[in-house]
Amino acid sequence: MNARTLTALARWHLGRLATFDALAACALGFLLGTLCAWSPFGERTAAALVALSGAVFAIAFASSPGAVRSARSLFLFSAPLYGRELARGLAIAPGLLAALFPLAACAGWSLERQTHLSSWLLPVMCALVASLIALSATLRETWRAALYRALALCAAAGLAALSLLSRDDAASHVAVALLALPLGFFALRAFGETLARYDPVTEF
Amino acid sequence: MTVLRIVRANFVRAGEELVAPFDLDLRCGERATHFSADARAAALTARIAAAVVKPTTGSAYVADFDTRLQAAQAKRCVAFVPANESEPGNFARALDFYAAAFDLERGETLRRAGEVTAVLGHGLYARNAALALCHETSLIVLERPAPGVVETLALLRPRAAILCSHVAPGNLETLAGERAVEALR
Repeated sequence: MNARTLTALARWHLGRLATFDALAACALGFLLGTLCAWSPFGERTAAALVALSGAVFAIAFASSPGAVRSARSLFLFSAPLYGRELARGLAIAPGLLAALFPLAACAGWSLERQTHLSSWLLPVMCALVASLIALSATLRETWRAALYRALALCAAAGLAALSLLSRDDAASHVAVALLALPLGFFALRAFGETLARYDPVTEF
Repeated sequence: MTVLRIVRANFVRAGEELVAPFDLDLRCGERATHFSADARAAALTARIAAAVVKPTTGSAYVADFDTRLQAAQAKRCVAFVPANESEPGNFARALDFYAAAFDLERGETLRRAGEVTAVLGHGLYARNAALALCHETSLIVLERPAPGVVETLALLRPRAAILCSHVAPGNLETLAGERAVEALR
């Protein structure tokens, strides 16, 4: 799969996801960041709170009707691509939308208080991981889909808890955020496997 | 040259046999209609032939590519037009994606899609057909096409084999020059 296919798939997918939801995520993220800045919370606690809220938004984006319809589209399964290639293309748009919430929260925080960018790496990574894990729920039904969404939330909560328990310095923040990389990698692989095995017959 | 060979392919979901085992052979330039007992079986039959759905047992080969093991290669040789597929979204972006996926120039896909919409119009089925036929293909699979679509596409792509999947009418009737495969359910 070349970059042109990846970009074209991401553009098509982004066009099908709700723009209003993205704007709402930005506004709410900014509001939460500002509220945290006014509260007595430290930056690390605020970042952990934003990480959890961001994960919820990421799961909501990845499970939205538009995302589910896109992931199950016959149009997509008629294209000569492997499951892992489709997974990469389909992960970009929800990932971008998921990252909007923590970035907006960081912007809201930085208007009022001093900001250390390393602290805000964790919420972004949490949102991405939650989004990637929740994507596997788009091709599943009932309790199986709910299980993947719960798993996404647990992964984000685990990373947020780890950041609160670790030392409060830049190196620790970055180290905890980087723990999200293997989680995201395995989540993307799992989504690719799910797409490869999926038979689009669910409308019956 | 055989472009589609289906050997005892069926489809089972949750213990229910949705498509009974069937065989099919189709060569370049041929046309065939497969009749199924209901719309679900008709749709699944078309999707099995188009390498979109993997048969539970048996095999399907498109241009000698096994659709279970070499689905991506098989899909390069098929143009699949679904019947009730939801709108694929922005048509231009969808066409861009297909152009990229099939390694084609954008202008070329636009020209081919334009040929189809010029004869079929701009309805949902025509747009789906235009997307599917934006690349050079040896097999066209149509899921429950409207009357006249097959003849039009046969004129447009005379060398391609065309498979239609339909729900069986009360008495099976075949169109002149076509081979019909009876419903096996």
